[in-house]
Amino acid sequence: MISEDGVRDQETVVVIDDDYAMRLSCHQILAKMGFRVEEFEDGARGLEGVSRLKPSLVVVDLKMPGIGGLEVVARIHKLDPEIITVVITGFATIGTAVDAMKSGAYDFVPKPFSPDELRVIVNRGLERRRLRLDSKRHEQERELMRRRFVTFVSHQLRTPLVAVHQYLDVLKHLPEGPDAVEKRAEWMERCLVRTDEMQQLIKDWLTLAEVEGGALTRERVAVDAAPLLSGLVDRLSTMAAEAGVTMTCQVPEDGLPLLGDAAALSMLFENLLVNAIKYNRAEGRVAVTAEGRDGEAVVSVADTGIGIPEEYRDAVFDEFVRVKGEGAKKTTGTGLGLPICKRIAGELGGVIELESHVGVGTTFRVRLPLHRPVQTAATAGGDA
Amino acid sequence: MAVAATVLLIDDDEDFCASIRSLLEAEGYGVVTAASGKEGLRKLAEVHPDVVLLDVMMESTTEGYAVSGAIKVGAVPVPVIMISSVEYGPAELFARSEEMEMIRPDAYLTKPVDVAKFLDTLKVVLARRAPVPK
Ligand SMILES: Nc1ncnc2c1ncn2[C@@H]1O[C@H](COP(=O)(O)OP(=O)(O)O)[C@@H](O)[C@H]1O
Ligand SMILES: [Mg+2]
Repeated sequence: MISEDGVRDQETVVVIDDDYAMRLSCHQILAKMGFRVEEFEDGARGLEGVSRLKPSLVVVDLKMPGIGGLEVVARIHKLDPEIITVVITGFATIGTAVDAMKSGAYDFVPKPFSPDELRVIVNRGLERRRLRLDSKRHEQERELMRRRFVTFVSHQLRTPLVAVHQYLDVLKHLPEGPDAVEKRAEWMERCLVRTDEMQQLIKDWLTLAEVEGGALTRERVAVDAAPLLSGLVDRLSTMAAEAGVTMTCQVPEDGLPLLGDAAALSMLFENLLVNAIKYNRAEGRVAVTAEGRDGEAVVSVADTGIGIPEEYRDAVFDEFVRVKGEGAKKTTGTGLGLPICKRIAGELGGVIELESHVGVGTTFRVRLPLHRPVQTAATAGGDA
Repeated sequence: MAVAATVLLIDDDEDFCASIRSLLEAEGYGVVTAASGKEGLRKLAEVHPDVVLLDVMMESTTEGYAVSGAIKVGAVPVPVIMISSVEYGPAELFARSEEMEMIRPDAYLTKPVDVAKFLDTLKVVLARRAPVPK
């Protein structure tokens, strides 16, 4: 409101008072503060002025002939609750001033008052208005973002359904003949692929919601990541072999203690491993290495695959993002795996880093806090 | 058989393109497809289609609007039928600002398209356009 050189952007303040002397002194004080000031001598004119001028603040005398101050306050509040009203009152009407505040007035100044008293209240009132308008604007921005996101998500979920529906509807309209027979066989396969995609989308979407709600990561137990990782590598070796990819796994022999939910941790690493196989090349390699240092567990999944272009390195962690190109064409996916990984790592107090060279390979590095079991008297001595 | 008209279909969903292509070819149209806005604009210059069918959310969520804008300010007037599964009504959307009004398509359909209505719309839009000497 006060710019750097101390000059106020002209905000409008309205004064409504039947007493000429009071209007004049208020006008002088407020004009000196840099406001554009408009005065009205009764409630009816004042209200008309307020709805026309849309002021930031209104000073209202409580005791006026015609429409009383209390009524004026209530109507201004109804017109625009963000307009700050300050009531002027004699000591005799303090009770009414309290009523006025119940009707929406911001504060009151008892007569007689000094210029400073009015200034302080006006400044405080306008500060409050500014804060409220700011938070309202932020709220609106958040709501807009949320609505865009909902539109986006429903579009993503609907896409495979649209494809299937369109195939079926077009099939119904195609003239019978060998062409239609061939199309029917081919499209039926595509419909199955797309309904599978739909299933996977919904499944992953629910997983993401579960991670976000904390349901998947709530359980915090000691988990040794070393056998968890080698177990995963074993389990995925068939998939890797089919893709012509060799996997290696190097984990600390004495284990890698983490604190978290075993299922969530397993999901995190499995997603990264599956990606490393999926987005690899024939005769490619995937190297899993893990170590604990400086209170941190670092698990790396390095592949010799297609790589992730620079402009996608942040985006791949966003929902539904898949890099357009050969990788996406040859594989199926929801673009929800990495967002799930990122959330799980975050929930467990860790981060995921990504390094990639297009055509050479990608390394995902997960950093999680190491879990140090509480030392009992018996084991404490053995600590090196 | 000479084609009735050439349709450029810009949509990043391969399956949607496959079904619409078959439908249109069975109706005697020539069909060219493009999987992105960029590819679409390139093919537009190459094949000079009689009408463009345009998806909205592709690589970016508003790619179709950008393409429609590029077509509308382009040298060659070609009608655009926007086809999207985004729910909100086009009347409200394109009236929102002057910029949006500029990119208003000649027709707007929601996915999945109703086959009969889709073919009708196509005929209407093609009939409306000024005859261009080939
Ligand atoms: N190891 C990797 N190498 C290359 N690209 C990758 C790798 N991991 C992920 N990506 C890219 O990031 C995108 C998002 O990954 P993800 O969220 O797991 O979704 P999905 O695998 O279902 O597509 C993938 O589609 C792919 O383009
Ligand atoms: Mg994945």
